[in-house]
Amino acid sequence: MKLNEKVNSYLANISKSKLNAFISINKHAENDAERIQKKIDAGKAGRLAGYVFSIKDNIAVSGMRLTCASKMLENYISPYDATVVKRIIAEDGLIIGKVNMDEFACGASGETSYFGPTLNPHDTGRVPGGSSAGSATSVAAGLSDVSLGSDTGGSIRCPASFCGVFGFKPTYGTVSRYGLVDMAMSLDQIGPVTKNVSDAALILSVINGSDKMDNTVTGTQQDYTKFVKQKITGVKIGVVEEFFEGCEHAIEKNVRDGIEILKNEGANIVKVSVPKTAIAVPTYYLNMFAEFSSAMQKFDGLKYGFRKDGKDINDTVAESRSALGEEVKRRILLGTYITMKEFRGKWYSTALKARETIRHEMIQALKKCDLLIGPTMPFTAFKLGEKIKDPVEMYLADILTVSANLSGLPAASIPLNVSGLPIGMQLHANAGEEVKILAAAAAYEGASK
Amino acid sequence: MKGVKIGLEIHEQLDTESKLFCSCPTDYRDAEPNKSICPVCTGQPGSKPFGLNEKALNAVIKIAIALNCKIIVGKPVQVRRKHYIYPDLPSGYQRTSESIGVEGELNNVQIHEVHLEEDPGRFFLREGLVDLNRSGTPLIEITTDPVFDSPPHAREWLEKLASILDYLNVTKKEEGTMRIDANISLNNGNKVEIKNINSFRNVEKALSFEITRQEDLIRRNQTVERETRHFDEKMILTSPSRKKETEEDYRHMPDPDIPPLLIKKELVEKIKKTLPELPQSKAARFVKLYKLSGQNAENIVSDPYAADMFENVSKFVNPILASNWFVGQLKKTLNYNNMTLRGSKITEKQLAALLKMLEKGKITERAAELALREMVLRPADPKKIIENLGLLEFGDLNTIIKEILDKNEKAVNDYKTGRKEAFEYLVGQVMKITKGSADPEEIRRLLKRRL
Amino acid sequence: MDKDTIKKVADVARLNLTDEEISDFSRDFDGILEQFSELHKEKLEEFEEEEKSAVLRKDESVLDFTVSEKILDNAPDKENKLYKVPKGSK
Repeated sequence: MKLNEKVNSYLANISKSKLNAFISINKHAENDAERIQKKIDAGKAGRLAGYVFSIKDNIAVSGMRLTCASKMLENYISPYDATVVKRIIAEDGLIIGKVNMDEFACGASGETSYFGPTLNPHDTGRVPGGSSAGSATSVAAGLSDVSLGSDTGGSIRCPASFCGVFGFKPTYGTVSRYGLVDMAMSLDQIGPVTKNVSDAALILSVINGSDKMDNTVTGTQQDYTKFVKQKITGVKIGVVEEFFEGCEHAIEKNVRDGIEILKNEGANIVKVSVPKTAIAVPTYYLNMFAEFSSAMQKFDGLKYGFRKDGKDINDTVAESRSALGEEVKRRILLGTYITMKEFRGKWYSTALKARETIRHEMIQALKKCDLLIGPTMPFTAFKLGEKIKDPVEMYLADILTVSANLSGLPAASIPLNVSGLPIGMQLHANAGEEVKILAAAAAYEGASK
Repeated sequence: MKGVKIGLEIHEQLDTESKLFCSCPTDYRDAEPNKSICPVCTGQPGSKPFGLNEKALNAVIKIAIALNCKIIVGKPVQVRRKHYIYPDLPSGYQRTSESIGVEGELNNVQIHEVHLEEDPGRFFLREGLVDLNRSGTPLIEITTDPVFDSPPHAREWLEKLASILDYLNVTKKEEGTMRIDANISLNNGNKVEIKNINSFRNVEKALSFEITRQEDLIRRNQTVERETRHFDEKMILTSPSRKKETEEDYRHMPDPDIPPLLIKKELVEKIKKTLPELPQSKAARFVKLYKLSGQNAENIVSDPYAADMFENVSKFVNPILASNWFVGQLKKTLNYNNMTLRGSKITEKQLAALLKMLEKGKITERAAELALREMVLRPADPKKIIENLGLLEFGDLNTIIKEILDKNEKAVNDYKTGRKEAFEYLVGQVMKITKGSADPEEIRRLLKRRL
Repeated sequence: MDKDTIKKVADVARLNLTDEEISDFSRDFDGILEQFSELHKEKLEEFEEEEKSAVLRKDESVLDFTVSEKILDNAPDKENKLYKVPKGSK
């Protein structure tokens, strides 16, 4: 099929879709498709020619809205491209549209969007997971080939797990965040959401590498594609027993079956322990709240975004910020509270220390093996509205994904071959060792078919 | 004034091409509003700071060394976010580094610390308009201990500091880039901070007003509130700020987008070697080498441009003569025209030639003065100026006087017999020949000597 | 967390909250912070900080972004290329 035909069929499907996966459609998609098809025909196309991308709506695409699924940025047009977008376009990837998410990435269900919840394509009564809800939904439902999401505490891996697609969070500092709207700056990473491992490896190969617009990315660009076919004979995989505590039975059973498949592929399975998983959720949330409250200061209604005039400057800012949703406000308030003079000693300082403890423990565990394995989520996709009224309940959903962010490690969610609701199996590796994850994921993918 | 304690916080823009965390130009003065801006310095969603401008960091290190600070070496220096929401601050926080130099000293004033930060944009508060061109320009902040005991003391020291910054040549040259916050307490009472004063003269005025105000409160047994005040230039008074800044909680936090700075010892050594001769040692050298008076030396070295020109002019004329002209007529003429020496475009060759003519007695002091006035406004070869103004070529004044005396025997005799008006007649004759370019006082002096 | 504390925090965070929001958040925050208090029971060791330092920008060349117009296009209100905001007082 020619790219323009594919794009047209995607556009038709998107307009028919009831999943609420898209926020904006690229008006130039058809023109872009024609232009890229010409390059393909001439044999002069880039590495991503033929791929149709959806992009999470917290990543800047010049000339398109950048809403972060918030009323605050409902009409904000990005004046610039994110570095990842620039790199994708340079390799002839086509952007079909911007996808739905939890507002400012605050959520694990996809329900906090100002534009309404995204639905799970496997069961529209259930959530697709968050915050990169539209990324996972659009890929799983065949509304795009691949997607870019962002992951601060599991925002790529959680929806990948709930929607049955592959989601990868790279090592912190591998992919430029320039153009990714901040959630928690020391935890955020952009990563691919795909149907298979090799697509993820290809996208990762295009978007990684140093960028003078993001200080935290320093390494030179790597090519990951060649590692996908690498054998995993002798690769030591550590099963983290704590990761199975409190998991639904079906999840534990299927993940253990998945581990068995890797064993059959030649992996050496060992047991490891990461006891501090017990404090991962409070540690993550306190660190994230603090950074998030700082990141959200810029939304004052003065330079861009929603403005509601008040009686003076302060009042105008506060009134304009009423455009922010409940969960966003909750996190700003908590982040402000724990960093205020009187309370920071008790909360923020402790959270920073706890983060170091967890990082240390994860690195220690990875000294004993090449990869850590367990489930991505403790449960399968829950019903719409089931957890949204109870923030604590919602926060606890992140228990298995946040340690990777707190430690800056790469991690991926691999869709298991199951009937019924999708289940994700999670792999962690040492910093910079994404190739080990890709090889193991590809091995599972090949063997489970 | 007993019990007065004044401390200063000085902000000055650093001389870099691009901003501190982005590649926008810093010469926003000539740009139309909101033109030198990008996603970074306007806090657009998703933007991140680029690498910290190395030249800005090196400039702060250089200044800190010149202020005899201990440089924080081999220990991470974090760039932190200082949170507050205001229209001139597009991100809702200002990026400011931890101390880069500490425990410095300049002219017996202890310097508490020196660090690097970014300038906010400009908020025209009466009109409610914001221009973000300035946003992100690198600034140095220098904080002194509260050791000044009077407003003139603070002003004099600021002038010394300004002269050092001039020498180091790493700060912006444009007028009005320096902004000063002054804090003041009387008899260990509450500290009052006066924000954003834009000139040394105003620092002195604002502080003097504050002392009077606080003394008055104390006399009436009222308490001096701990607060932030603003100086009103036109009314020459300070008034309380409506922003409750002392109560504000900035929630300082290391900026996660910027890894900490690590300053290496080798870098400090390298920068140390680039330090120019600073005013204090230059003045001492001038006294020793050129035998200048301490006062003249100090006066000349306060401007590095003047000091260099003085040394070059002194290669051709007597240094003491030159120094007297630098601190005397030259300065007077420049001040009168509201100009700086650098701004006048007068060359050292022109100045040397003029003083040489004076030294050789080819022109009178009066003629030299008149020529200098012209030269400051329209720099040119002094010979031409003198010619054009008709100040020459009457030769040596002594010769002219001798001629006049020879020609006017009667008047000489009249004078000698006590007729005072004869003397004025002789002065007039000399003036006529010199076309008014000779100094009448000098004519009188020379005439008296001869008669 | 009592309502006065919430109001104080909201003031620092520049959020205008309704009375309903204040009481909802007050209830929520007690639950959340109680849950997060687990942290205080943990023994947390001190670790040496990771050795990392900033990459400085040597290249001073000035980029012309030519995006200033697009940036300004997003202004909720403007006047002669300046952002228009409420008037201020010193």
